[in-house]
Amino acid sequence: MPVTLTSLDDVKFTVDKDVAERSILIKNMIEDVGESDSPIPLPNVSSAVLKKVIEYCEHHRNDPVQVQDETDDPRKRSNDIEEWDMKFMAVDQEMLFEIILAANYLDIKPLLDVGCKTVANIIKGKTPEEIRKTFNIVNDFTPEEEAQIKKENEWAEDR
Amino acid sequence: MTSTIRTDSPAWTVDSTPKPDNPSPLRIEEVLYEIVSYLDRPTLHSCVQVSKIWYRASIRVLWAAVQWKSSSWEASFIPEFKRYGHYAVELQDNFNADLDLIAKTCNSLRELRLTWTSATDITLQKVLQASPKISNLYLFSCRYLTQDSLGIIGQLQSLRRLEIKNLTQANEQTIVALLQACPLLDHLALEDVRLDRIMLDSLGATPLNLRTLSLTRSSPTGNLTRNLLRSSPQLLEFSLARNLHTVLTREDVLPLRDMYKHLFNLNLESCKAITSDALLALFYTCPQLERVNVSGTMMDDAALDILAINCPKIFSINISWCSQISDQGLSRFLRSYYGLRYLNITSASFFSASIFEEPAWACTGLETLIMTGMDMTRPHFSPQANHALMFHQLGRLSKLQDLALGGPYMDLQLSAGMAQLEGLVSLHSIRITQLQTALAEDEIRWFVTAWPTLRRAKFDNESLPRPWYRYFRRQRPHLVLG
Repeated sequence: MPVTLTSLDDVKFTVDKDVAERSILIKNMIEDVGESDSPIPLPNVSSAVLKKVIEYCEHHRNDPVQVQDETDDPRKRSNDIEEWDMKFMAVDQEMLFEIILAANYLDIKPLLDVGCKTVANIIKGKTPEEIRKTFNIVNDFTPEEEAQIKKENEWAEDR
Repeated sequence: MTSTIRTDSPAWTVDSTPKPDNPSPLRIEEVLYEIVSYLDRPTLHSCVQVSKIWYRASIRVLWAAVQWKSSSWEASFIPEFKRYGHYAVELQDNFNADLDLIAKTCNSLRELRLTWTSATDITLQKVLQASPKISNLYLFSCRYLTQDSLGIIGQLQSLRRLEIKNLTQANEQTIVALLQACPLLDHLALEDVRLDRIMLDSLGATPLNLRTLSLTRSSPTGNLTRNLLRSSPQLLEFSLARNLHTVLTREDVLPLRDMYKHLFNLNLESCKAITSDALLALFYTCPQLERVNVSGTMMDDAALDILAINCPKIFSINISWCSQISDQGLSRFLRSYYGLRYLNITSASFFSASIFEEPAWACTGLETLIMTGMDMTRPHFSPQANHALMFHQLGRLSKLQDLALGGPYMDLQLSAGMAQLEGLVSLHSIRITQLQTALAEDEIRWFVTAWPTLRRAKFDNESLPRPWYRYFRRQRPHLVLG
């Protein structure tokens, strides 16, 4: 049973139900509404991004459902991205961000994780100023606040 | 199949012209939290400095992974500790905690908090020796500790923050040794630590690094206060709160001419024995002061005038229970001082309604106003006229978010013009206690509909009869009703 999704710019995508249900949001919608032919509107996602997201979901359609491993090391690692995912994420900053937002909105945890890991790998090893420059972030601290924060957490620098 | 990713991003392009309303996952705290939770400690240290939202997201990761807290001692400590990191231990109400075990297991602690534990000087020494890099140390109510523990703390070369509560013994040598041994110490807070016989005359002339100094309910002597202040030229925050009977003179609190160049927070709550001329001299020399609490002190009109002139950055002032301030003095302050955002003038009839007389208050940016216990029988013979003055003046405070009213002379009636309080368009919370007569039906109905922004309301039983609570709750279901 195929499902039709409508993007922000009114482009329709028809995908298999098990692909669409990689998104918990869509899964819940289908459960709530029941089987129906009417398209599901996704007013927060543009067609370009939705195309990418569907590509991801199709590739991962057979993945087992993620379970949180309680005994796992709480420190999460970002160097375990699969090769296909890594290539999939080799896009420009704007697209990467939009994929993360879409994954957050559509509630696709594995895609959100991969997106976050990718951004984390970009941040890794950068100074505060480099981070601000990379992402165009305005420093909204006063110099005193910044100095205070730097000092309070100085221990984190020690190896 | 997995592979290691390069630290540099593939095909990375920095967009030099971001659209201003471009939604970014970096502006959603929860997503940002997910991102930074993959980072190592040194990078997290960078992240906390980037901006405020980055701070909020990454400080959680940086510190959450290292705290271990429990109110009961269990065999699970070691696995828990190994899992959650090795940088901070907090033990609370925990008399069974095995500090020897902590000393054996933890050798890289940065923070140690012990509250109501059975720590002794010997066990503390073991823990501190194992982790010589501790920078934050909190010892609250550990009753087996003696003054010797101060000497042990002095071995911590990288100590920055030290807070001790409830240590009945302390002597000159141990405190001096501690201050001299910890060159980085910039935050020292002692509460209920007996300082009443200590002079600190042997402290010497070497300046200390103290930015925050708090001696709460510890009865510091004049000498100690003077010597400590003299050695702390960089002080930003200073508290002597609740030293009720400690006689401190002008020379004690102001040992050097311009010693409070940087001070922005001053708390002298309940220091009844600090003379008013000492207060006056203090405010002469604190140009950067932002927050001041002189509740229950000898603060008088002259000192308040000086404060208004010399301390243009004050935004928060607590002058509750200051019997030496007159209506005229307070009125002068409220009509001339613009920058106030927090004001507490609670008292037992020290101030009368004449402070509400025209002209209008200058401090229209006021966000919090706490004024229970006003004398509403003056200046006019009719209390209703006095209340009218009040409602008229308060109704102008359109920025006000928190308001506390009440007291034995207060009577909130629509017939006196209470409807003018509708002007408080930003009001979030209101607290009403001990009214002269309970609110009547009309007033309650008015309260229920007033202020759509209101989120919290608190009435005591005398002011709002119990049956009306239910009515209130039904009409404003989203209100937190105290």
